[in-house]
Amino acid sequence: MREGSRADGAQGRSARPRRRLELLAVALVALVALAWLVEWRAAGGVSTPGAVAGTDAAGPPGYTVAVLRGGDVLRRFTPADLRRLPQVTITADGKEQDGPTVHAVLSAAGVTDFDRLEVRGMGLRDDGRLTLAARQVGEDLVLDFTDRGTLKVVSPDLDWGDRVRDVTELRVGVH
Amino acid sequence: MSRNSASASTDSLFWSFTLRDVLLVAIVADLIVLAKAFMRIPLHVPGHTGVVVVALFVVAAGLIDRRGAATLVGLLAGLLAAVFGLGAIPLVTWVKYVAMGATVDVGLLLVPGLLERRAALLVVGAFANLAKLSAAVAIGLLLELPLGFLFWGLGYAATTHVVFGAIGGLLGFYVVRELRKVPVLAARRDQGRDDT
Repeated sequence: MREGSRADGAQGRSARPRRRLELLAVALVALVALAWLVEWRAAGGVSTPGAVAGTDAAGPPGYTVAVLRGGDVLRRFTPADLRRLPQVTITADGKEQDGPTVHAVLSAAGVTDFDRLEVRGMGLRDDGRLTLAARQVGEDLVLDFTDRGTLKVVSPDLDWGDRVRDVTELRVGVH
Repeated sequence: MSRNSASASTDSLFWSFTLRDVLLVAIVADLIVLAKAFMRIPLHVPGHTGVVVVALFVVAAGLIDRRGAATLVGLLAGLLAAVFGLGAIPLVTWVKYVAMGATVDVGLLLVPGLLERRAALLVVGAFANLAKLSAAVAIGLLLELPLGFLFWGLGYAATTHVVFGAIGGLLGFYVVRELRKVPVLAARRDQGRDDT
C-alpha cells in the first residue's frame, strides 16, 4: 500500500514538469492570439493589410511622412500618396526594395534646392535619425514600403546599420 | 544534476559566481553583442535574430550552473550594446536583453530539467523571443508612441518571434549538449562551494 502511494507520488512528480510545459505552451498560444486581437482592435476592427509580406500596405492609422523645411511642414504624405509617385526598384541588403525615390518625394513637396537632408523615424527599432548631404540623395535613395506598411529609407550605398525604419519626417536644410 | 532540481539551494544564486562563471557570462554577453552588431541573416522577417540570441542565452544557462545566469548575461549584453551605441534607445536594447535573460531563468525555475528537454526549450525559447518584442512594445507605450502605429503588425511580429525563438531554443539545446562534452565547459555546480 505504502509502496503504491510512493510510486504514485513519484509518477506525480515526473508528470508535473510535463503539465507545466503544457500550460506554458497554452499560454504562449494565448499570447500570440492576444497580439492578433490587440492589433485588430487598434486597427479599428480591420485586419492589418501590410502584415503579410508582398501585399500592398496601407500603413498604420494616422501614419504619414512629412517634408519639413526650417520647421515648416511643406507637405504630409500618406502611404497611399507615396504609392502614387513614380516607383523604382533597387536591390539593397540582398533584397529588392521598391517605392518612390526620396528625390521624387522632395520634388512633390516643392523642394528643389537643399544642402542637407535629415531623415527621422520613430526610433524604436533603429537610431531613428540619418543625416545626408545633398549629393548623397541620388536616384537610388528610396523610401521602401515595408511589410508593416510603414516606410524605410534604403540605398545600396547606405550601410545596413544606418537605415531608418518607420520614417516620419524628411527635414531639408540650407546653409 | 540539473541546476533547477528540487535540491537546488541558494548558493546557486548569482552572487556565488566563480571566476569561470563570470568569464562565461562576459563571453556570452560579448557574443550576443557581436551577433547584434555584425551578423546579418537576410530573412527580413521580424524576430529572426532570435535564432542566434535565444540560442546564446540557452548556452549561458547551460554552461553556467547558477540561478540568474541568463539574466546577468542580459544585463551585461544590454549594457555593452548601450555603450557601443547599438539600437535606437539604449534603454530599449538593455530592457530587451534583460527580459530575454530573465525569461530563460524563469523557465529554468518553472520546468525542472529544462536544459535536457527539447520540447521545453522550444517553448521557453519562444517565450524569450516574445519577451523581447513585449519589452519593445512596453517601452513604446511608456514613450507614448501612437497605439495604432505600435500595434500595427503586432500579431504577425508575435508569430514570427515565437517561431524564431523556438528555433533558437532548439539550437541552444543541441549546442549545450555538445559543449557539455567538453570538460572545461561542462557545468560544475560544486565548484562554488569548494571555492568558499
